[in-house]
Amino acid sequence: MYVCLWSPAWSTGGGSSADGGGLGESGVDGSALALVDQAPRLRVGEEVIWADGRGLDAEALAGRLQSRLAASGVVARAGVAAVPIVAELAARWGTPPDRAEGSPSQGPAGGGDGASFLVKERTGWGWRRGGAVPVSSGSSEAVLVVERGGEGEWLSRLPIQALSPDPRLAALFEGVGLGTVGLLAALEREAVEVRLGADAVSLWRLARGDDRRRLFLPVPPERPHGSIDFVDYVLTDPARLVFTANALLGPLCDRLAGRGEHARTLRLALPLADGAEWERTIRPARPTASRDAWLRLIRGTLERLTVPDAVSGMRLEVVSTEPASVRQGDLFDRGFATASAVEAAVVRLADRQVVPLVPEKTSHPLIERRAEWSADLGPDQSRGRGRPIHGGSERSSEVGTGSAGLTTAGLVLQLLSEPRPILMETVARRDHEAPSRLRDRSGWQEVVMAAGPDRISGGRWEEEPYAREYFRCLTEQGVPLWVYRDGRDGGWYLHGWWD
Amino acid sequence: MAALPAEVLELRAQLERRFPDAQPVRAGTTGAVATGLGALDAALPAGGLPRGRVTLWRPGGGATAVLRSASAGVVRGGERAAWVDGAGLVAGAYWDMPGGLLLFRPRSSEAAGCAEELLRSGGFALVVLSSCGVLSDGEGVRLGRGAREGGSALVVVAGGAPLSHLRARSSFDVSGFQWCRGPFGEPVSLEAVAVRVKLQSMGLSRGVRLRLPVEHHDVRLSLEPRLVDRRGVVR
Repeated sequence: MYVCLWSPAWSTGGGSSADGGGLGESGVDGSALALVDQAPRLRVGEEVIWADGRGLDAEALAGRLQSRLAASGVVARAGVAAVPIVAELAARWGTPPDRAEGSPSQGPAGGGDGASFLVKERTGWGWRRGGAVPVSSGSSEAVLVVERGGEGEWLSRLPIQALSPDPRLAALFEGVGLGTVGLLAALEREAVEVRLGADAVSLWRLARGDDRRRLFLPVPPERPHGSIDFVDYVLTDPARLVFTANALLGPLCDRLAGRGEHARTLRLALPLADGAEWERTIRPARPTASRDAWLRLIRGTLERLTVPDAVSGMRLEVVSTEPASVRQGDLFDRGFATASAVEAAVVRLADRQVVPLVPEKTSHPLIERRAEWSADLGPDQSRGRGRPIHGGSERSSEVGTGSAGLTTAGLVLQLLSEPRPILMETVARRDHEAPSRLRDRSGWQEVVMAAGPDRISGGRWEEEPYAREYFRCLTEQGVPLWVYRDGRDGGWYLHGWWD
Repeated sequence: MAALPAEVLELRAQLERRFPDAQPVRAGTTGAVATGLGALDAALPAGGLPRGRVTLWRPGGGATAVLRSASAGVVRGGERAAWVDGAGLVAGAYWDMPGGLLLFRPRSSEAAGCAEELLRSGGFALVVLSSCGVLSDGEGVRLGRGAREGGSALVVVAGGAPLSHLRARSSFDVSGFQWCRGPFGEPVSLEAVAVRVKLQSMGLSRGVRLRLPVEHHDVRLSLEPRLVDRRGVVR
């Protein structure tokens, strides 16, 4: 239930109370300050103060708030309802008349304290509130509670001016004879939109008790954390620190799992005996709530620990989290059932600095510089190059398209990461020397066929220029090799082979 | 063929139950991963590389091509394959990975551990472990157990492995090489090769000859070494 407080002193924009007493603060804000210790959550609205009474005895809360305001010299009326607009109108308008009156020229309040509380003045086609008269704090209507389920009935008896329509809409309402909120609520939405315009739809919603305001946002939960202080001793042994971290991680990971979250970042802080503090932020390859994964990372961090003094405590705090999401299943994906297990395996490998790789291809003349390897950890990684970790059926159409790679069972080049120097005997062939015999780790081998040279040069604009004459050789054992003569030093190198 | 006596069948069943790892691959595997090469699949027991078992492929020519074809077939079927390249021999220019095929390039000493981790996840139909150096007995046992528990076909491309249910050796057949020759009659490029594959297992010894094309990358040539080739360079 929401509690709404309204005082005529706030609506006039004056001081905190009509008689000049009170809090010494300006209007509604000053009054709200006086209520801070009475309600867990407060919000200052336009001429009103909201209190969150959900889960509490809202009526009693409203009474306490009124009493506190009365002690400060502010007389306010309270409305309590499950719907904000109902609570607000209850505070502003008090008890509605027993029988709906169609004409806005009638007074808004039908009697009792409400009748003396507000005086309406007609100004042209609209209505404005004025001439507020304080209600007595002991009035039986000082707290008006609208029970659940009765909001619509209660609203329907209010005059249409309670919704504060703008002058244009007020004129339209009067013109079509909509004198009460109930008459507006009884209309169809389409009729309201067509006949009165889109602006009237929002009032129509309010008339039906459909208030979409979110007065009090959910309170973000506290980040999971854990700490321990070594009161009587200090530690210098990383193994004992790992033991402590394991103890702290248990409840921390349980809390994460209970909240359905994975930790993306964890802060490990070690207070030192000299008063300083050593701190590291740890990030796994993928967000996780796994105790084992975090312990593995913390152990790796602590094993490289170098601190100037002994450790007198430990603090672990989750810095950032994200919801533990689950991918939508695909009945036609044979790998989906094991996707989570594969992801977990890949994450464990990533924690050991072994990640799946994808090549970023360039058009560099040197083939070893024509692709750069980069990590590929999933669809949310690496600038959109990531691929789903589940089965490959979604891209199976790419296989068999006839492009290079895995489309055919063809021999491809196996490239040495570093070209291996070899001894080479050559024979003269037109304008070049062609390989005839080479010596590798396995000894001398005859070259029975040598195709080439493929001359590649350049790099004067790079760190190191290059000039190579490549030959495709076939040894007597039938192995196709790729060798080159370096044009700068004249040496021969084995760069790869076809397999 | 005459039916075996009931005592023999019973004895065979008892042996299979008692020594599940000692059965011939044709009897004990739950399935196979086809290589996509018809002649080879016909020669392999159960029509492909056995799942849940270790296959040792001694490199000698064409092993990578065959296993790349098998990996592509796995991915085409909607399953996953992983390639653990311990020596970093995979050339990026040739690696067009479809989704579901993961490439890892750990250090040679970590390659077996990486493959074991992938096998134990149970999510890969095929794991290729290449250039992993010499496997120790412990690594071999763990890899075999990982393949069996994960149901993956593990192919170790190495000179030897402590435990393997199927052994394959491939080598080039020079007589089957097809060269493209230039205007002077000299060979310019290798177009296709012939590969002999020898398969061995308990109760199995077969050979098959394959003909495989050779893929070449786009060589950016300059006329002679002194000329600067600026093509492909971002200015």
